[in-house]
Amino acid sequence: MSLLEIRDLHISYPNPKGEFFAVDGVDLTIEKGEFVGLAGESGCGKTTLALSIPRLLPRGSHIGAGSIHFNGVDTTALSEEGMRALRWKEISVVFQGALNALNPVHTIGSQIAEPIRIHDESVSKKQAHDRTLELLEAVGIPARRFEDFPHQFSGGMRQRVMIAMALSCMPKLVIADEPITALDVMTQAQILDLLRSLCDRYSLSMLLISHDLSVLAQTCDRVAVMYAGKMAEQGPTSRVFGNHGAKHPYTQRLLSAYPNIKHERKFIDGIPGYPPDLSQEQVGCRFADRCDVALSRCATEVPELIDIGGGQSVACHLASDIRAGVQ
Amino acid sequence: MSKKLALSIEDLHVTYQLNGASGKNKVARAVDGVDLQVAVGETLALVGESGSGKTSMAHAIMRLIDPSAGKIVIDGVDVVPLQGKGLRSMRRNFQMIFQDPFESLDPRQRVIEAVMEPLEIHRIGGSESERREMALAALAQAGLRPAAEIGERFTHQLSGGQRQRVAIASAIILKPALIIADEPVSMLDVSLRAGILRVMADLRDQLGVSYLFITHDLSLAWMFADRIAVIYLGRIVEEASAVDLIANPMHPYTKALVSVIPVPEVTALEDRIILTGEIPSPASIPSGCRFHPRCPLFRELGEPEQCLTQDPVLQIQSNAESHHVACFFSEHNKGNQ
Amino acid sequence: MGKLWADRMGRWGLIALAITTFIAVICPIFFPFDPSKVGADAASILTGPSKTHLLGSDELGRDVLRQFFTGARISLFVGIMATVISTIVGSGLGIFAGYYMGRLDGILMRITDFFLVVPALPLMIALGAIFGQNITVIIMVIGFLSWPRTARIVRSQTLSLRQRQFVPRAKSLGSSNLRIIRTHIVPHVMPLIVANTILVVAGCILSEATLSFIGLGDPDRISWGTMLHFSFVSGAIGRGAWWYFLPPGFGILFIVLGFTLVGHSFEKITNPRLGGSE
Repeated sequence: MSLLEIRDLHISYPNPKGEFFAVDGVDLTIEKGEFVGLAGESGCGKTTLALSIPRLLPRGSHIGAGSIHFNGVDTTALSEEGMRALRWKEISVVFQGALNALNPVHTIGSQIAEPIRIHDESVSKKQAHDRTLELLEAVGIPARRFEDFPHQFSGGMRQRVMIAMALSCMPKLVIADEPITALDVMTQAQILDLLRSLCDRYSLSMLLISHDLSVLAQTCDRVAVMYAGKMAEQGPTSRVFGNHGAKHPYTQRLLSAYPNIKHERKFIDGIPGYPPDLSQEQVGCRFADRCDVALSRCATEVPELIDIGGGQSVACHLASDIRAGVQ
Repeated sequence: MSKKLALSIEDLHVTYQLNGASGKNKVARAVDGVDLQVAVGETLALVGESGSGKTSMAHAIMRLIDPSAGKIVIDGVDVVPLQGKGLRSMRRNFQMIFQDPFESLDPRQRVIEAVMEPLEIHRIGGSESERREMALAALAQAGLRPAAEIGERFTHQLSGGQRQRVAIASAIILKPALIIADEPVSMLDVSLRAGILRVMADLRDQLGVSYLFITHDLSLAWMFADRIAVIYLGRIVEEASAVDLIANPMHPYTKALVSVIPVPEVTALEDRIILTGEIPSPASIPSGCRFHPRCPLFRELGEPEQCLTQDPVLQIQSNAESHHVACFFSEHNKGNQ
Repeated sequence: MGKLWADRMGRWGLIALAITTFIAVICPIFFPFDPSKVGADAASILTGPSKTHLLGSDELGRDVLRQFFTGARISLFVGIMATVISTIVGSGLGIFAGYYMGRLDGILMRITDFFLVVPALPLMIALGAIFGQNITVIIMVIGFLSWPRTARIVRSQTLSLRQRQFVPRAKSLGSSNLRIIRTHIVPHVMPLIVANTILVVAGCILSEATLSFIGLGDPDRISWGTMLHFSFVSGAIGRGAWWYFLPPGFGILFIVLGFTLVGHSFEKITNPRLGGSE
């Protein structure tokens, strides 16, 4: 049994013309101890998908069809109370924008200790304190900074505090929402290394959300790429970023939008056009308008996410043709 | 060098007075003695982390803040002593593209107004209709088509990529010799970056614009610029041609930065050099070599006295043409590529 | 305007303002008030409403209705003129302080603070007493004492605009500071200034009424406040001559309410963030 299994999930937001689906029939599986990267550009639905797991979606959003099984339990069917018991204890979140997520008037020590005592009343103050020191050590913050306030920390250090907070109840799944955006390259590398090592050390499962596909290549076991509310491609990092390569034209284009210093210098490619407006009715493949290898059927038929072997799956008519040809 | 220079900076200093909670008035040296040249038609990337002083430098060159010392020669004129009207009329020659296209355009302006504004300021173009023609041409040049239709929209109705194109159009309409691009694509989605950079590259080819391209992203600098200068704590630590700097970094800081550049493929993680700690405050720059507290080479070499007491200057490397490094032991560093 | 009408608060305010404007502007033309036209004998003093005097007569036997019409005109005139002074001074100082920041801001804001904490009424009384009971003096006194609030609001808005990147951009294009203020600051603060101005009018009308009521009004130009003053000193209240003091009293209430409703409604429309918190 996988730790997390999302099947055909639909999440809608209200808009003046009715509602639109930010997440429109998405599957995602995370195994125990697995480090999964979820990538996509702004508005593709990756944050909505991730925050639906601990049910922390903004008001107005609605989980329609589909299911989210966490540890065998369908969380979409859970009451708010049942969900609260899972939140933080089993599923925790490292939020984007560490400065806003921390309370400026409390020391970071007390903020890390707080959830420990909330979720387990049998823990004494002393135990919570010791646990906090342990967590600070784990995320690389000197214990003497226990009594410091958030504004005394740099961006990278604050992000470490956020990570320590997320780990305070030793959850099974940590969702990190753009944890390294707005950090410097060196700090990014530090934080990614930290997340990776924590994942291995405590055999956590991790869902790392990033708009930056290139940072996922070095950290994750598996990557999932979303486009316009749909899963475009997912597979093991070693395949998608390796010799086997990405198979969805969107992933391919996206990869060539990054300069690669390991290769010869050339101008990066962009993707012409803009993502579709999801408040409009969508027909066919959502990437068809921007795709330079689109077939005529791409405009009318929605491509299914199909397994192309090696744990990789792609939602593209071309990929299914490739597979059909091989067999 | 006999090449004509679009920008020449000599010993630039920018300081800030800090009114700390401790009550002491500290001075932050954001830019601490920088020399830099950009030839006509050349693109120089200034690469640094946040807090490195790269933005202070951009603002000083743009004369949005006053440098405390040094010369900034743009198109043959030192702009540091200029004030008031003289400065304003000189501004035609150097323009800036700001990082955040959502903040840098006035949401109450129409696109066409934003692009015509510089013409009105400098009284270029005989009539309103002539200015309009010029603005439409600039919009088209920046890749906003149909220009006439987009021109009538309000700036807040555009997407980030479109706004950045408007910013480019209004920067080039004055035909400046130098454009300072401060992280022009860092706020944009990856798939849109190439389009913006392509427009900038085309302008370089067609109009011979020189760029000072400010970024934290070394790989983007490598791809877009002719030369790269790496800035650390207000000082250039290494400067070389873009290809050479990435292939053959000599300063331990650059070496570490290059090693952690994310590449969109599976790579061996062991080669990375991850520096510990963070960039110190410009109010307390370490003595000697400012990089020594974080320098892996300093530790490897057994903490040499020289690094603690002397401030290394940017020097040309004997074996590499126009590759400048500010490190006493860069030769040593070269060996273990 | 259409939006104001669509808003319930704004609609009532607009109706109130339309009525008072009509009373102040049109009515005195057809029913002019002549202060010298006093009653012939004691019997014509403080008489109740009748055919000749629809709203009775005052302590000198003059027609109250005609007085009421003219009073509306003076009240409105003083209120608006004082507001013009207040808005020009307040917005100007606010914009300059907010835009230039630094030392100029410090000085201007200390001056503002001074005027903000100065007890306005006693000062108005003192100034009124020194400079005499003259309508120009009253306008000046009220105008120069009511700008600090405007200055504070405009300054804080300007300060936040100043942080927006389009200001350095305009500067790097070569704009002078005055041009930046004109093209990039003023258009943004204008809705705020307008909303605030409407509210200030209400305050100025009240101030005028207060000054006039305590006897510092211009005796030659009867406003609603002056009417209240004379009705009070002539003992109209004690004698139950309601027709003398109720009309100007309700008039003031009505006009102030009108401006306040329109002002708040305008504020709500131009600043959607205030939306839910009425």
